[in-house]
Amino acid sequence: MKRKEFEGARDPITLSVIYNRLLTINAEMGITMINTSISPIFAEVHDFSCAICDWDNRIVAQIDGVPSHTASAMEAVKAVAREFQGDIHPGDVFVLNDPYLGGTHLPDVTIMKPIFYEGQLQFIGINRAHHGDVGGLEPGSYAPGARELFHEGIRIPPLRIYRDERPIMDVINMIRINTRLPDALWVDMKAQVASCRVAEKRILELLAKYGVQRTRQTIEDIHRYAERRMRLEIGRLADGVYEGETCLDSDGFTDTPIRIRVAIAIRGEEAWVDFAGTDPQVTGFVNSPLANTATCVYVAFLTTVTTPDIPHNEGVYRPIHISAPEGSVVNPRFPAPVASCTLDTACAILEACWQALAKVLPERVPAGWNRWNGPTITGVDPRKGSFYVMFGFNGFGGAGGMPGMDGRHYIGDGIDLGGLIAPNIETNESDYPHVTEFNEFTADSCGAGQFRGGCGARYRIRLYDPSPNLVMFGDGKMHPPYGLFGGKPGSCNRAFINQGRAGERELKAKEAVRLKEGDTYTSYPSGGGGWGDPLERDPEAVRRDARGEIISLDSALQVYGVVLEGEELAVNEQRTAALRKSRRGG
Amino acid sequence: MFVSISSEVLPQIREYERMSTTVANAYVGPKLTVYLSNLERQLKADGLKRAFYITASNGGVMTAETAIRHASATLLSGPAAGAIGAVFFAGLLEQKNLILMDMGGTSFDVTLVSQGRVTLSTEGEIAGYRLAKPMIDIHTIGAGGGSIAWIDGGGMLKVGPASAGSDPGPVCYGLGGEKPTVTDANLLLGYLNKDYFLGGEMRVSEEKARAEMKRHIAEPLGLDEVAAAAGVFRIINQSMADAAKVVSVQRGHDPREYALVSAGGACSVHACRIAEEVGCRSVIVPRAASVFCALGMLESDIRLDHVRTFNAVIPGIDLAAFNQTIRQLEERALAELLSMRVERERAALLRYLDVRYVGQHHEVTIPIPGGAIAENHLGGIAESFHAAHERLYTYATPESELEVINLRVTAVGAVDKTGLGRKPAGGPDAEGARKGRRRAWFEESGGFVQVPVYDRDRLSPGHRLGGPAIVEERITTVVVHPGWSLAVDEFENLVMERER
Repeated sequence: MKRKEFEGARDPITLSVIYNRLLTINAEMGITMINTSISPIFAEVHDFSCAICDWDNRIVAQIDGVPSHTASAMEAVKAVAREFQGDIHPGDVFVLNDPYLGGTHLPDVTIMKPIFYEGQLQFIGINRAHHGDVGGLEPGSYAPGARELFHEGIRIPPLRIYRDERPIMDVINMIRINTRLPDALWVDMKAQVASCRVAEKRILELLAKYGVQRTRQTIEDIHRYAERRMRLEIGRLADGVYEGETCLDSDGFTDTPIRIRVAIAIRGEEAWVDFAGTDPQVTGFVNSPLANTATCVYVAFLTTVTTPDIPHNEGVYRPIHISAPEGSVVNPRFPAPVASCTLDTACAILEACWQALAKVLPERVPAGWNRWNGPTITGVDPRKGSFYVMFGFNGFGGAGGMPGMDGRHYIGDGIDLGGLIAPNIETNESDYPHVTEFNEFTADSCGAGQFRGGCGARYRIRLYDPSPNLVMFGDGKMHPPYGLFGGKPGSCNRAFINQGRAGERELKAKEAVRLKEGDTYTSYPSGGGGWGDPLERDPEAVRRDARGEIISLDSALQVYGVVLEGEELAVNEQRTAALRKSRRGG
Repeated sequence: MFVSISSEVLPQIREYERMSTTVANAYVGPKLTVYLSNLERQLKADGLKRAFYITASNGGVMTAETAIRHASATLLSGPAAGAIGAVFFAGLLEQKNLILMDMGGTSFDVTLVSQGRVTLSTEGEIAGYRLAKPMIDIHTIGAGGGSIAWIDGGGMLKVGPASAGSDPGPVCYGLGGEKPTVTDANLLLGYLNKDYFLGGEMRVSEEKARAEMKRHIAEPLGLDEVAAAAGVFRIINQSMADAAKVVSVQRGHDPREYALVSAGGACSVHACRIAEEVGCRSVIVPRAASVFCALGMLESDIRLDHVRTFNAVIPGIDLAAFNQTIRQLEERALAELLSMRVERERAALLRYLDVRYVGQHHEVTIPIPGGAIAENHLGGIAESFHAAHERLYTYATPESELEVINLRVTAVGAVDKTGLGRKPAGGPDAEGARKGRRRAWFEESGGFVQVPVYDRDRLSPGHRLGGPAIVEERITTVVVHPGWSLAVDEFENLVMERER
C-alpha cells in the first residue's frame, strides 16, 4: 500500500467516526418510517429510501431502501435549491415528485427537510417513498394507456408544505384531492416528515459535538474518500470499450422490442458510459429520464466494480461520466410518460450495463435477474367498503447466478436487488380482498449453470371484490434473464386470468383489465439466469436441487448431465462422469 | 418422534415468522430432549431432590420438561443470563435503570433494563432466521477486544467486524497474529499492563503490537503508533456507544437516567468513554460479573409466554369474545404453570396486548389490567398505547382508532430469593490499595501521563479515588478516565461517576 493513496483526509479518525454516525442516523430514519407508515408498501415492503444531503446538495450518506432511488435524490434537493434560493428557512419542509425536475416517477414522493444550525443551512434530510396512488388514468398510477406525463397523475414541482414546523394544509389538500388515497397519502407523508425530523435531531447533536467547520471539512473528506475508492476500483479494470445490449419487450402500445445499447469506456481511473444507439423515446410509459438512467448506471457499478461497504455518496459518482442521446428512451423529452421506468426500463438498463461490465469483470457480474411481473390490483374492499390499491409483491422472481453463488430464489426484480420484502400472505389477505391459492417455487424456472439462477414463484389469488381493476406493468415476457459464460437464461415472465377455468386468458406484459368477483390472477415470474456451464455444476448441488424440487429429474439428467438413482436420488458418479464427458463432445 | 406444530409453538398471524420459529423449535427440540433427559436422570441419580430449571430467552426459567416442549424459547438463553443478572443487580442496587454492556473478544452485547425490567422483543433473529418468541431484547454488534483495525481501499480506518478471536488473537499475544486489534491499541495506550496480563500469567509483547500498528495503520495514515492506537480506541468506542444508543435513545429512553453496567473482561477500559458518548452519568463495574449472572439465574421467576391472535378495533371491540379468549389463554397458562408444581398463591398472570393504529403494520406491546375488561377500561388502554407510541416514534394521534392484533399472557411463578450481604463502608482513603504508577495516554492530558494503579482486591467499601487512574485485577482492568471518579460500594462494586 502506497502512502499517496491516502492523501486528503485531514483527520482520518474523525472521518471514520462521523461517517459511521451518519450511517446510524440514516438507519434510524428508516426504522421510523417502517414503524409509523400505514401503507404496506412502506411498512411491509420497504419501498422507500432515506438519505442525507449536505449544504451543497450532495448526498453524503444513503443506506436504507431501494437502490433505484439512490442517486436521483440529489436532483430533487437541487431543484428545491433552484426554486427557493434565499427563501429556505428553519422549520420548512419541501416536497417534489416530478420526474423531469429531479423525481423518479410520480408515485415516488420526495420529502426534504433542511436542517439549520447556528442560523445556517447545513444538511437536508430526505425521504423518498412510493405512494399507493397519485391520480392519473389508472388507480395505482401505473397506466399502460398513458401517452404523456399528465396522464400519470399529479405533478408536484418543488413545493413548500411546512412552514415553522407546521403543515401548510391548503397546499397539502391540493395534493391530496388529486389522489385516490388522500388519507393514506397524508399519514404516510407525515411518517416521511417524522423520519426527516429524526435525522434533524441527530445531526444537530453531531454538529454540537464537532462544530460546523470540523464537520464540514470531514464531509468534504468523506466525498473525497468515496471518490478515491471508486477511482482505485475503476483503475484496476483493463482499459477498453465494453458493450452491452438488452431489449424491453414493448411499451404497451406496440409489440416492438425497444433496444438499449451501452458502451462503457474504461480509461485509467474513470469510466465513460454512453447510450448512443439506444432506441428513440416511445409512446408508452417506459421512458427513463436521465436521472433514473444515471441511477441504474451507478447501481451497475456499485454492485460489481466496488464492494458493498463503499459509501453511497456524491463522491463515488465523480469518476463516472454518463451521456445519453436526447429524445431516446433513456433520456426522453418532456412530457413522455415514465411510470414504469423505475422497474422495467431500470432492469433493462442495469442488464445492459452488467453485460458490458461482464466483459471486463467476469468474476463479479451476475447473470440476469428477474424483471417485474407483478400487477397493481385496485377496487373496493367489500369488508370495509373502502378503496384499496394492492401492488403485487408476492410471487417474486429469482436472482442470477454468479461465481461461487447460486442466485437467490424469490427475491424480486434486478433493480431492487432484494430491497423489496414480500409481505406475509396472511397480512396481505387481511389487507386486501383476495384468497391466495398457492405461492411456491416453480421447478426449472431457474436458468441452469455451474451457478444456477434462483427460482421464480407460482402464485395464484382469487379476488372477491365486485369489480377489481388489474394493471400489468411488467416486462420480460419475451426477453428472459440472460445467462453468462455458458449459463442458460432463466424462464420468461408469464401471467394469466382464470387459468384453467372458464374465461382463461394470458395477460400481456403491459395492459389494464377489468375483472369480476371470483376471477383468479396467476403469475409465473421468471427465475434468474445461470452462470457458467451446467455440466460443471457440482453433482451434489444438482442432487440437492432435485430433492428440493428446484429442478426436475429430467433437467438433472438432460441439462446438468447428472445421473440420480433410487429413492434418495444418490449421484451415480461413474455414469455421471461418462454422461458429462459425452455431452462435452468426447 | 419430536413433533412441533406451529399452532402450538406460535399461534399468531404472519406465516413466515410462525414457520421459521416452528422449524427452529423442531431443529433444537430433539437435541434438547436427549440432553435434558440425560441431565435430569444424572442429577437425580446424584441425589438432587428438587426440580431444576432452565434459563429461557425471555428472562425467566422453566422446568426441564417445559423447556423440551418449548425448545425454541431456550434459544439465545445464554446471553439472556447476563441480562437476568442485570435485573437482579437493578433490584440489589435500587438503581432501576441500567444499560448492561458485555464486551468479549469478538462481540459486544447491550441490554436495556428499564424500571427494573428487561424489554422483550418478538423480532429476534438467529443466524438470519426469524424467531418470533418473546426474547430479551439484546443488541449485538461485532466489536470486541479481538476486533481487527484495518484501512480500506479509500484510506478509511475501520475497526472490525473481523476479529482475530483467540487464535491467533491480538498481535501482542505473540501467537502469530499480525493484524493490530483493539487489545493491541489498549496495550499501546497504557490501559492494559503488559506485566499483569491474566494476573501476570501471560506474556504479551508491546513491541510486536507497536510494530504492526505502525505498519498497518500508522504509516498509511501518516500518524504515529500512539495516535493510530488512539484512533482505534475512539472508533471502537463510538461503535459500542452507537449500539447502546440503539437500545436506549432510539427506543425513546433518556440515557441520562441510566447507569452503564460494564461486564466482560475488556469492557471497563472503554466504559467511561462509551458513557460520555451515550450521555450516561455513571458506570458500575460489578464485583464479579459472572457471579451476578449466576445469582440472577437463581433469583429468576418461572416465566411462560402465551400468545393468541385476536383481531379487533377499539372502539367497537367485542368485549365478551375478548374476555372469553383471554380467560381461555390464562387458564391454559395457569394450568401449565401449576403442572410445574408452582403453588397457586405464588402464581401470577400478566396480560399484554399487541396494538397499533388502524392501518399500521407494526405493533406495540402494552400491559393491560387483569380481570374482566369493561368499556371503562378502554380509555386507559388507549392512553398507554398513545404514550408508548409517542415515546418510540416521536408522535401519537389520539384521534385515530386502535387495532388489536394479539393477546399475550405471561404466567409467572415466584421462586425463593436469597439476596446478597452488604459489607460496612470504611474510610475513603484508597492509598493502601495502590500498587504503583504507570504511563497511560489521555486526550485531555495531551498525551501520556503517570497515573496511579490500584489493586482491586485491596479496594474495600467506602474507598474513593479520582481519574485518571487504573484499577487492576486478574482478568479485568478498569480505566478511570479524566473527569471521572470512582467509589467502592457496600457490595464491593466499583461505581464511577462523571464529575460535574
